[in-house]
This record gives sequence, C-alpha cells and structure tokens, in this order.
Amino acid sequence: MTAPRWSRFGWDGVSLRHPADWELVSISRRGRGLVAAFAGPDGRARAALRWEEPAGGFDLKKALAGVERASAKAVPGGKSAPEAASGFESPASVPGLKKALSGMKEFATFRWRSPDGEVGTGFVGACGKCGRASIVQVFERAAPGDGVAAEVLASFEDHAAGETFLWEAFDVAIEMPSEYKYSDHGYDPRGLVRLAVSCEDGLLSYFRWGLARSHVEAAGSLEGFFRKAFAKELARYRLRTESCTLDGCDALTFAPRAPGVLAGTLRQTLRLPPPRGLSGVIWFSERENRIYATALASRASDALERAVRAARRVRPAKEEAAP
Amino acid sequence: MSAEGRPPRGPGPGGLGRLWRRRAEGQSSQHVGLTREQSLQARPVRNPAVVTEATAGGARLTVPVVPGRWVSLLLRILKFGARPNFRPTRTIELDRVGAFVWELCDGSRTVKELASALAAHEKLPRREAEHSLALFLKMLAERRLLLLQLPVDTPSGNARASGQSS
Repeated sequence: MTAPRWSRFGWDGVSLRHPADWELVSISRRGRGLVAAFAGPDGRARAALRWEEPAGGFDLKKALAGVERASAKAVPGGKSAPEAASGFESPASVPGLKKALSGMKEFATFRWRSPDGEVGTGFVGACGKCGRASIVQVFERAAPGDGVAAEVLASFEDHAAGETFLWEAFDVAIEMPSEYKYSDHGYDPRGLVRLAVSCEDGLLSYFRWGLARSHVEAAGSLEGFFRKAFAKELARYRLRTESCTLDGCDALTFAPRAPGVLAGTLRQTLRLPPPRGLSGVIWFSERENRIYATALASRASDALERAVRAARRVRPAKEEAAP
Repeated sequence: MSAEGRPPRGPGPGGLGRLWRRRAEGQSSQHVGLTREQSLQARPVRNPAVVTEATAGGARLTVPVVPGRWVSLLLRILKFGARPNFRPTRTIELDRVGAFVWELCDGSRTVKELASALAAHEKLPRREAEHSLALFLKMLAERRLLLLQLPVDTPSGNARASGQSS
C-alpha cells in the first residue's frame, strides 16, 4: 500500500496540508472573512477553513458558541432537537494538536456528531502574531480514527512563513511578499484561475489557464490567445507586445505604448503624473500544459520589470509525501 | 377543430399549444434526473452512424441527417432524391482534446474513467477535467452523437439514451 500523497493550501498567510485527493472547491467571502471548502473524490465535503479579522478583538467563548450554533443548525429540528445538545463536545481530544498550535494566542478544540453519522472535528483559535481568528473543521463519515483529521488540523499555520507567503490553491503556487494584500480572485472550473493582490505599486494580478495547448492551437499562437483573453485591456490601455522567453517558455511581454508627441509634451508642461498603465508577461509552459500571466496595473515606470519579477515566483502546485 | 374546420390557434389543444406540448413531452422523455455519482458511472457510447476521420487538428465527424419536411420538399424539387448515392450529412470538427475524448467513448469506459484519462492526458486537476468533460459530453449528447448508458440500478432504467451529463 502506498502512503497517501498530500497537498498544501496556502492563502494570505494561512496554510494547511490535506490529502492530495481532496480538492479545493471554493473560496468565498463570509462576513469580514473568507471560507475555503474542500471536497473528496466522491464530491462530499471533507474540510472547511474560515479566517477573518474579528471586529473588536477575539473572544474564544463567543466563537465557540457560534460553532455550536452552526453545528446545531445542521441537525434536523434545529438546536432544540435532543441530538443537537448531545452532539457537540468541547474540548475534544485530537492527538498532537496542542503542540502543533502552540503558536496561537488561544484556541479550543471541538467535535460534533450529526444523527446521520457525520462527525466534525476542529478547532477555533486566534493567531499569536496578528490576532486573526480561524475555524478549521474536518468532516468524516465513519468514526474518526484513521488520523487524517488530526494530521490536517495539526498542519494548520497562520503567519508562520515570515517575509513571504506561499499562496497555493487551484493548482497554482505563488510566493509573494507578506505585505501584499488580497484584493479579489476568480475560479472557473473550465480552467481559469485569477488572483489579484494590491501592492505598493498598484494592483498585481495572476492568471492561469488549463488546456493551454488547445487554447494556443485554436488562437494560432500565444499572441493570438493573448489578444482574445486580454481584448478589453488591449483596447483600454493601448498595449504594445513583444515576444521573448521566460525560463525556457514562449512568452510575450505587454506594456502601454509611449504617448504621442503632443500628449507627451502636454503632460510634461502641465507636470501631470504618468497615466495608470498595464504591464505584464504571459507565458506558455508546454511541459505543464498551462498558460500563466502576471499583470501590474500601475503608474510606476518600471512596472513591466516588476511584473516579470513576480512571474518568476509562479509555479504549479506540487504534491508532497505523507507528513 | 374549430367551426371552420381548422385547428384553433394560440395556446390550447391545437396550434402553438400543441407544438409546445409536443416539445415539452419530447424534453421530459430525454431528461433524466441523475446524481453526480450516477452521472460519473454512465458509459458514453458513440452513435454508430457517425463516421470519424482523423485530421491534422483532431477529428472530423460526418453525421447523416434526416432532412425536415421543407428541406425534403426542396430536395425533391431539385431532384437530389433521384441520385442513387445522395445522403445528406453534416460535419463537425473536433479539436485535439475533443478527438481524444471521442476515441475513448466506446462504451467500455465510465465518465469517471474518461475524466481520469483526460486529467492525465492534459495535466488537469480532477475537478477541471470533470467539468470540461461534462460540458463536452453534454454538447455531443444534445447533437445525438453519443448516448449515455446508465447503470442498471438507476431509477431511469438500463441503457437509456439521455441528453444529460454530470
């Protein structure tokens, strides 16, 4: 029997290891925070991770009560049903968790059972460095005991990486400076992943497309694909493109055209700041069958250089051996 | 029938109403409610009447078509029907990935196995492979280029043609 492979989920400083056959289904906003949901190969929910900056500080008792209320809602008949009262326990024993979460300011473990045999094991806690609150839950159908839940929960980290964060989700991994702030993301299961973060220069966006060979063949070339995928931006920013290679892959850089003589002179005379432009690079990794792109919307004159530097920190997500 | 001996127009037992009912009945007989698991266990089978021809970019499917009433009339006027080898057809071009999936739709593999094969061939995550495959199979089933053989234990019965996919 081979050891199960593991994957890592990382987002804005929060990270978690999970079995490789679990898949990140969605990341959605809830209240002031975000929720990541994972499903198994059969489509059943396996884990949920929620993190947010709590308004007015973190209150462990209040947070735990919130989890209990939410678990009771899942029981037919609501919290007044007898199963709801007996199904929730806190603290719950999870081997190895206390040591793994020693960096947290405070945390509490819990376990709930639904009448149909679903068991949820997790913890609620706050980061020792920034006070960000997190709730992590692993769902199991049978009686817990194979150790997967404990492994997943114990692998949770918040603000452990230091100056850079590894963003790893939807089959793409990006290393970013920790001061970059999450702005927006999109995931289309037909193959497009988009992540936008704000940095000191402007808005930096990362893109990833699957089925890249088909896209390039259909469009005739990487430039043809770029013209289709960035049609709006091409019209809005008057972009010029240039072919190049990036780490051995066919690539195309794009940047705003230089202003005309009249517009340039006028700007110089009136001492206006340069207009906000879009610069970036798109590259086709034939080996991975992926197209990646980074685009920086910025007024900075070296935006293209920065976008290319950001592109070098992108790689496909990897599976790892058992922890 | 109305007093003038013509079917009444508008919604009702005749005219547009009849047409609507016929379409609705046609649709309900084709759509089968399936769970995700049942969809993944279905086996896509190519329509044997479709002729497949490999091309540089993928494959070309030639599908015989039965002309409608008006087209038949036109063909009769133009005397196409008199030609001994005349068979109206339409062609569909598949790209490289489409041709790969089409070749595997021989009834021996389930949708789940096809998704795994597609994921391995195109280096796709499982979810993206399933999603792309579902859209592609749905498109082929709607054009009646393939059937989905459902497992025996599904409530809709065995070997039922369906326009649905996962």
